[in-house]
Formats: sequence, structure tokens, C-alpha cells
Amino acid sequence: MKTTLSLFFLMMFPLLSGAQTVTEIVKKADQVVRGKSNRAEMTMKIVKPDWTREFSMKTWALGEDYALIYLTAPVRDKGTVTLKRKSEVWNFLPTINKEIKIPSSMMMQSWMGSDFTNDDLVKESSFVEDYDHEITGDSTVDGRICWKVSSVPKPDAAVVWGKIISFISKEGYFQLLAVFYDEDGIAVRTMKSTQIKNAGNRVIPTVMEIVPLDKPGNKTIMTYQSIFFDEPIKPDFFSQQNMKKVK
Amino acid sequence: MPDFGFYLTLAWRNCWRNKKRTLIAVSSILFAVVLSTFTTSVQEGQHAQMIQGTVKQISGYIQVHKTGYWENKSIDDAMVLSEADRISIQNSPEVKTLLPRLETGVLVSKDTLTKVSPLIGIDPEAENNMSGLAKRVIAGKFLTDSSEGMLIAEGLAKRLGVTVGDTLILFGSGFHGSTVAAEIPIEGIVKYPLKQLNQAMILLSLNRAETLLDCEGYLTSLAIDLAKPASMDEVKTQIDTLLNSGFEVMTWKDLMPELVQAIAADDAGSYLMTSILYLVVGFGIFGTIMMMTQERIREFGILVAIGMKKAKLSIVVLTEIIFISLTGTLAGFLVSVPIMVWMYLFPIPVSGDMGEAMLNYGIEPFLFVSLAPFVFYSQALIILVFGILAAGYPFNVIRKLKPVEAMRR
Repeated sequence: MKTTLSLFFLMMFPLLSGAQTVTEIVKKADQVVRGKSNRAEMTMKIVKPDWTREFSMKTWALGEDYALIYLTAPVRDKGTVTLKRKSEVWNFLPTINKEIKIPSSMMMQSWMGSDFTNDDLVKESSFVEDYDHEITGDSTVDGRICWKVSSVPKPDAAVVWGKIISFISKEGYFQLLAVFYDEDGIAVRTMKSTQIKNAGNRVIPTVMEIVPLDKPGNKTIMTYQSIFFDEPIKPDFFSQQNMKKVK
Repeated sequence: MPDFGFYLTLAWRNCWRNKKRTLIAVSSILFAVVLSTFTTSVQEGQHAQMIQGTVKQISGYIQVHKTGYWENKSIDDAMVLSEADRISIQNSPEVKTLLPRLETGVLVSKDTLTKVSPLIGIDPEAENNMSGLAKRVIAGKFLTDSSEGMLIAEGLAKRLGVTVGDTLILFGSGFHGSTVAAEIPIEGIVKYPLKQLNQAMILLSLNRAETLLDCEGYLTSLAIDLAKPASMDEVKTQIDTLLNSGFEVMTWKDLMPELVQAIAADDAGSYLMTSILYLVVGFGIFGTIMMMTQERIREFGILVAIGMKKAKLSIVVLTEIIFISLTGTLAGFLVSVPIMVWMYLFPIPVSGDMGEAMLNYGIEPFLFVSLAPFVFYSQALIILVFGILAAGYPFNVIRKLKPVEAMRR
């Protein structure tokens, strides 16, 4: 019934209300997992065909502009900090006691050997802003009814994907699955979110699995141990000075 | 019908009848053999030195990698070589030393200067065994298995303005993208004769490299030094069958096609030189035989006039030439062997630009010669054939001989 109604609505006001609704959905889905700010403890497991590595980390984020990641394990990487301020990414390496700014030429390189790129850390937030979204139907993912949203980059947006198809659950606004296409329309990466539960002060998917489709046997799994939203934190927490101090 | 002994006797007597003439012919062949042996020996020696220089200094005769490593040389394609496999490779009688290596590229910086350099984790003892690396350390000390510091190439030290005891920052990515960032002290400075290596090279003990690059138990390559280089292809096949799939076994020819090409190009050049040399010595021999024949036209005329068959006469002359060629070749062989042995033991140093150029190729600046047996017998054989071919001239003269005219000369 609901579907029929919204479809009817879409047909009635294809440009205005349709676009508005989609943008709202996408924005809401983004807000659900981001909050005004968040603080989390998580693990990241990198899986290659014959090899795996697991990182543990603490993360802090404020809005779309600030994020800080502090690695707690393994021992050889403990204390490594990645800081995102606006569109800059910095690394602090305790073994040589140096901060290194990641140049734009290295943005597409893997972050800590995972299937994330440095660019993912910086640009992910612009998903809402940099794409034109459109609902292309309903679908079911893991037993949840979802909107299927097709997003193509705006003409002047500096983005790497040619198209993103995401599935956002109607209940809770969770982005359960996203498929990333390159400029030739070939699916190159999927991101799947599962294990929806309360790991702090909000119910969200706590496991994210990223699978690069062009590299069989590879994947990266991020698991939230805990995540707390909307705790007060100031922008100056995300400073180069603080990179050396956080724990 | 007289037997073969008849020809031999006649030819033998003819040779001794005019000793001076025979001596001239023999010595023209002797010089031809000595000259061409010398040229070939020097060429071969140079090539062998080029191969040895590169193979012994870096690559080893054979290398084992994970399949596909050599194409991208990515540390992500490092391999785990089981102890059992390693032992069975070591047990092959031709295998002299195994050199496990872990190799990647890093950024190396001192203050604001940053350079790119290859970094290799090595088994110091094994490397020294093959290339004599310890002798190339010009400052500080050589690595041991447990060294925490590094050896760096002299050229790199110069470019960064550092010396033994200084600490450099290494930065890059290790196994599967792990972060490599460390401050490592310089334990020694090593001077490579190969310019390319001397410009940038960092050596660590294998243990240190494993922790730095986060790949304990992995190797990017296993280089193999052989006791007898000639058995290389055989050993390669042996190792190929010994290992499971997933490994690539490559000889230095597969590893460094550019060296094979350089030698081929050099060979092409030297073919031209050898051809000219053969032309000169060939005409030398021909000229001598021609004179011998002209001198004896009157003699031939009388022989034919008194009833000697032209065919028999030709066989006698041919036998003479074979005697002369054999003697000349044998003498040439006897003269060239001691000369080449002497030059092998005491190579002539090459100085100036030529010496510099050789250093750049990784060759010590000496005129190296080869004592490979084929150098000697191939040249002796070629000249022998030349001598016998020259017999065509007297054949033709005898065939056209008119006794009356001939006797008037």
C-alpha cells in the first residue's frame, strides 16, 4: 500500500517531490551512522587469498569535516594516527615521530593495506552532496524492505565512481548494501552492512564488509565493538598536535 | 696401382725437399691460428666476465620466486619456501650457496633530503660467500644475522651526505600495504663496482627486513649460486620438478634479458671483426700456397710430361697441404695455449675511458681471456679448413697444366 502510494506520488511530481524524498532518504541514512559526532572502537580485518591482518582502532568523528583514527593493535602499528581535516589527510607515525601529509597523488592508494582508499576516508561524506539520487524501485536485502537508490555523480563533482547503487532499509534508514560502479559501468566494489544492534547508544549495522570485485579472495571487514553518538567534542580535538597525544 | 703410402712418401719428401718453403707455409698457418685464437679468447673472456660480474654480484645463476613475482616485483608476491624444499635444493650437488632475499623499494630520507632506493634483506654470510660483499665495505662493518642497522651504497651515502653511525628514516609500504616507517642506523657503507647498484642500495639482515616489512617467514626470491655454471639448465630443470606449482624458476638469462642482448649485440660486432680477421689470414694462407704452386709449375710440367697422372699429382699436393696445415695448426695451438694461460693468470689492466666504461658494465677493468677449450679447437679447426680450401688453387693449376708451356718457364 505504502509503495503504491509513493509510486503514485512519484508519478504525480516526478521532479520536485521525488528528488526531494530521495535526497532526504540518503541524507537520513548518512546521518544514522554518522550522527553529529561519534566515538567508536572497532576492528578492521583485511583478508587476502592467503593472508589476513587485523587492526584494532579507536575513532572519533565530528560532522563531515573531522575524523581521527588511532590504531591500538597490532603492536608494530600501535600509535599510528590518521587525521582528516576538511579535505586533508595526515598520518602520524610514532616509529619515526613524524607527521606526513598524504598528497593528492596518493589518495587512491590503499589505507593501511585495506580495500579502503585514502580517498574513501576523505570523500565519503560527499556522497549526499556530490551525487544525483533516484529511487529505482524496492528490493529486499537480508529480509528487510529497502529502497533501491541509484546515484550518479553530478557533472562537476570530483568523484571516482561512475554510479553507486545502494539499498536503504525503509525501517531505520540503514544502507544495507552498496554497489560501486566505475566509469565504464562495471561493478567494482560492494559494501555490505550487517549485524544490526545497539553497540552504544544507537541501533545501527555494526559489521561492514567491503569486497573488491576485481580482486577475488580479497575483502575488508570492519566491526564496531562500541559506538557512541552525539557526545560533545570540539573541532580542535582534530589537530596535528593532538595526533601525538591521543590514546 | 700404388697404395696410399706412395702419396704419403712423395708428399713427405716434397715437404722436406724445400724446407724454407714449407716453413713459410707452416708459419702463415701458425700466425693465423694464434691471431684468431687470441681474438676469440679475449671476446669470450670479456663476455664471461660480464656475466660473472652481474650474476655473481646480484642475481645469482638461478632464482626461485612465487609465480608472477618477477613481472611486477611486488612484495605482495612474496613466497613461503618450506624448510624441506630449501634443504632439497641445497642438497643438489651442483648448488653452492642459497641466498634468501626479501626485497622492496623504500623512500629513504635524512632531514629534508629524500631518495628512492631498493632495500634488500639478506643472509649476510651467504651473500659474502657469492659476491665477496664484505670486502666491498669501505667504512663501518659488515652485517651479521642479528644486525639491527643497515649497509648503504656509497653513492647513496654521498647523495644524502651521511656516514657510518648516522640514522636514516625509511618510509614506504611493506607486505600487503603495511606501513613501513623506521629510523635505522647505518652500520656500514659498501662500494659496488656497478654504478647502478652504487647509486642506491640498502641492505639489512633478513631478520630485520622481515620485521620492518611485516612479513616474517616470507621471501621475495631465493637466489642460487652454482659450483659449475655449465650445469645451470640442468639444475633449473631439477628444481622445477622438485618444487610444487606456484613457483617460478628462472636462470640469469631469463632474469636479465638485457644482458643477453648486450652480449648478442657485442657478438654481432665481433663477428664482423673476426670475419675481417679470417679474410686477412685466409688470404695470407692462400697467398703462400699460390706462391708455392707458381714456383713449382715447371716441376709439375716435367712430372706430367714423363707420365705422372694429373689426378695423382693433385693428391700428392693435397697431402702436402694437409701436412703443412696440420703442422701449422698444431704449432699454433702450442704457441697460443701458453700465451693465453699467461694472460689468464696475469690479465692486462685497462685504464682510461675504456676502463671506466667497463666499470659501468660491472666488469673489473682488466683484459680477461677465456681458456674454454672450444676457443682453441674451434679456431684451430677453422684455420685448418682454410688451409685445405686453399688447395683448390693448385688443383686448378694442375688441371689446366700444359706440360710443354709449363716446362718452358
